[in-house]
Amino acid sequence: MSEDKSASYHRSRSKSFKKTLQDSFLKDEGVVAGESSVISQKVHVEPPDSEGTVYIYSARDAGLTYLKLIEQNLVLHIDVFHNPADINIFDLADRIRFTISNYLDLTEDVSPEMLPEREMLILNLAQRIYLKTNHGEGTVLSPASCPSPPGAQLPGHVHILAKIPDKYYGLVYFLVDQIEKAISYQGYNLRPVNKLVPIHEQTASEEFPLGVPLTHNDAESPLEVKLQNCSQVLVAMAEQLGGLEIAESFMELISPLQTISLSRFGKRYPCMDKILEDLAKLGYIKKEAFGYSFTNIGKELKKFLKLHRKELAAQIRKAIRHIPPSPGATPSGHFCRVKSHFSAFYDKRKAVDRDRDNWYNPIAIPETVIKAAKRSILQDKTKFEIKEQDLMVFKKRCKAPVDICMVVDCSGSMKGAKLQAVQWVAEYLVLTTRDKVALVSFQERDAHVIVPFTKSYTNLHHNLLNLQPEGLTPLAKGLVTALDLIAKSKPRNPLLALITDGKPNTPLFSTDPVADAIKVCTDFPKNKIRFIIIGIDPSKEFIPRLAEAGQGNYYLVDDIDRSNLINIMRSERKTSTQTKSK
Amino acid sequence: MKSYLQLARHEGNNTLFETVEMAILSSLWGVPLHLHAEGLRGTGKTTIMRAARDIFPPITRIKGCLYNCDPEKPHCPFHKAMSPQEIAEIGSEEIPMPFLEISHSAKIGTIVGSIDLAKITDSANPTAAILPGIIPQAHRGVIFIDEINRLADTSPELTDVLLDVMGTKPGRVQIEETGLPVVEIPVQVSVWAASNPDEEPGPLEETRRQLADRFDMVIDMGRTHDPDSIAEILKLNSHVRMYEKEVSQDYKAMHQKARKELQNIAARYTNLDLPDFLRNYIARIYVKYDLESLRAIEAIQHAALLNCALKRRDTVLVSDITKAFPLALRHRVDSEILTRIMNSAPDSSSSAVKVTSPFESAAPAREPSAAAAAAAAAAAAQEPAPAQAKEKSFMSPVLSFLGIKGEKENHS
Repeated sequence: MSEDKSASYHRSRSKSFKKTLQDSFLKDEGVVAGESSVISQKVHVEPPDSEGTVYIYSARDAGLTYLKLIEQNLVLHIDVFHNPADINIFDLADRIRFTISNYLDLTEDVSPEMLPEREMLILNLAQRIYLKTNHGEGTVLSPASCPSPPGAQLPGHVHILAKIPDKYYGLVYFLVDQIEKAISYQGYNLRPVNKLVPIHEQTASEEFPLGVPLTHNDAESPLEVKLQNCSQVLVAMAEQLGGLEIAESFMELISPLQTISLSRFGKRYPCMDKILEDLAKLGYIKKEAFGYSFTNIGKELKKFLKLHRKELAAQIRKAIRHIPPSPGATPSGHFCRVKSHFSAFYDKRKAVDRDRDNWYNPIAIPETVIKAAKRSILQDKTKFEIKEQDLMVFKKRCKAPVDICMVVDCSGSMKGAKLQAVQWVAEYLVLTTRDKVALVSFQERDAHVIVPFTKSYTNLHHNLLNLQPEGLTPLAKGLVTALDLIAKSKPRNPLLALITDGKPNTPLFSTDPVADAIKVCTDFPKNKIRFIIIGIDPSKEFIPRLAEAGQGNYYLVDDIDRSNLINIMRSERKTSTQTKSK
Repeated sequence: MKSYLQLARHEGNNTLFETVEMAILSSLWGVPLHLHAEGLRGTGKTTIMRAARDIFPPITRIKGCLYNCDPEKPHCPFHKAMSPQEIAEIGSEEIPMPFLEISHSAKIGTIVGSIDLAKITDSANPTAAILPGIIPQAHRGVIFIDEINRLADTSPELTDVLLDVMGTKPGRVQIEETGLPVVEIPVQVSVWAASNPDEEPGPLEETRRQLADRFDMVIDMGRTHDPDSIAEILKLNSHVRMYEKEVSQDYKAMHQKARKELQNIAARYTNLDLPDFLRNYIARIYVKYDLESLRAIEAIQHAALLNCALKRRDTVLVSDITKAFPLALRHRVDSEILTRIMNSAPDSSSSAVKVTSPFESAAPAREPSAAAAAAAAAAAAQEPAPAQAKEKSFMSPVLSFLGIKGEKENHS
């Protein structure tokens, strides 16, 4: 191909690529480019246990999440996936700068007198592209080396945020190509991306107050509809407040006589104002001079709750069991658990000789007959017979249970959605697995065992209602309490999961809170406790050090939410079970 | 023994009674209807479903045919190839519509069919023949499965067979036995199931999603808060009544009447169809709410027709469809989407037919269901006092929902 032809080819490719990007951004989707790059305007992540699949969160804008911008859809988020490696950031930055100038050469005719402007443009674009690898981070113009602490898991992708005008989206085509080349040149392998899975998080409740359309309250609407609306409103309220009991006591407070208690309630549950607003919109309550009071249909709602408490509680438990969109999702976004008790205990594909230890296992008939036939032939028997020595049985599958102790930061910053996600995950684990779950919270200056190891949902649920996020972060104290609990209750195969969103700020032994926490962590390996940390740590200095001390994994997340927590817990449980049964 | 019409009806179980009657009517039309009753422990799911066989209408089959061959269209391997004369020679017999159960100790051979051991060991004339299992034997009838979520968990093989049986209408089973040719039989069987989603291993939608979707309707069982109904249930369960071997003559007569009534309705409304605007409404809901399974909207249409026929109305109304929504969609969509769908009823002004809700006016405007009406009539003829109590319990669901009844009592 001649120079000219190649240039025009690339120009048209870059143009059509720009078009593709714009089209899919309109639909809130992402694009897989090159071999292993994903481009979108949203947050996308690779879940811990499924390689080749990338989740894209269509409701979370990349600019809002990573750069704390106000306006949406300004930032391109590009991830180039490779095997965990230390990618040199200076090399990448150099190549990108070079690519920008090549791109401008290719697409814009520049007269010689415009050259200074063009130089400015290149610098401007370079300033707008932010790069991050394990080796360092910074804009293309000023990359800086800032290695992660030793022992940390190496990241598996180059993370790029580009705040460039959509006029220059064609540049991305060259950018991705160049970065993939750079990674291969540095001697690392690219990891191909096969599939983008859109994750739709609940946004519906924002559209309608408490999930019920406003048209609902015709006096004429049929009874079934009224009942459905009542249960929808109550379940939505219970989910937002964290329990049916709380919703019930909340409804008791709606009365002009209780205005003061209601405002006190509002301090504990920040979402109360929104709920009151929604209830008023739906016509269940009305505002009067001295506060809110129930309308007639509101009274019916209250009565409905009284009569159907059991059914509603069952419905909420059902909702907790409902598995969120996850790896291997079917087209509808639900993950089907097809497991059976039988195969959970006996591996029907593996038969072993029957002996003194496994004589009570079920007999594998075909294998037994085959073995007997073999023996008959070898011993030159004319008659076929099965003797005791021929019996084969199915092998028992070892399945080590995992007992999970969650150590949860209950400082003020966890208030609201974060803590609710934690509660939900604890309840989810108890309802859907055979594991025991315990929960230790730490806040202010102390730590408490909120729930000792239990399998009972009711027990867990009632104890979780006591969680009150406020105060400081005495992490070390929390870990010590958890360690005591584990030592006392002797759980099977313990997994300690620390969930926190900030640095510790209350020391235990010395004056340095971080050092204290690290000191406690060093005890975990010798007590045979698996340790993981799920946390928000923008500075990335303290969580990795903690994980290193406890020889555990750590997960730095953008937000502590249900899907993050459940994905991590699920994959960690899996590894725990496997390592133990080996 | 408790008979179907003796059982107390209240606001919590009324839906199940109605859907059970719908399913019987549907069988008379030749369409199987798969029901799944979900609810808390001890709410009477199993009792009602088992008792329903009291009002099962009879079916006619070729004499002695284990596969319940219809003399007009024989389907089993023995009678399929016979001419009408030959079948007429064998003769036909009337049997009650079959009601068989799949228990948790069932084996695949007893469910589907296996080699007939009695025939093969017959020393006079040993033959290798197939003995049909429970499913082929329940042709044109009902199979009942208790605790279906546990069955789906413990016997995946049985569940796979059910997927085949319930996947299409009519469904199919394939009997395979080593050394014999494969036999494929069409089966027209309604599968009725009961489970408690709160008990291990969780709701059927989570343990086996395909199987959950095969059920046309899921009925959410409720409880009652009406002391009268509860007292009636207690009365039925006292040991004096529990061991009454035979159903009393009165009730037998009433069952007979209810059976006749159902047959009359089935004959009268064979050609009932949905008006176009309602069909379009359902179709639009499928598109708008991105429903996954076409079975969902087929079930809505069918349930609306059945409900309309049981109410002895000649036109299907929007309220019939509203009634079908929770039944057909509860196990298929999130409750939030269900709420939205239920609130989306088409505007009464834009519809061709005037929309009347049976609930908006006074309660007596609502026609009680067929069997209920027959029962009430029969009960009124024989026992005046209980009849009143009974009638009250038919009406009370309407009133005592949302506690309207309580308020009315207070006013009076």
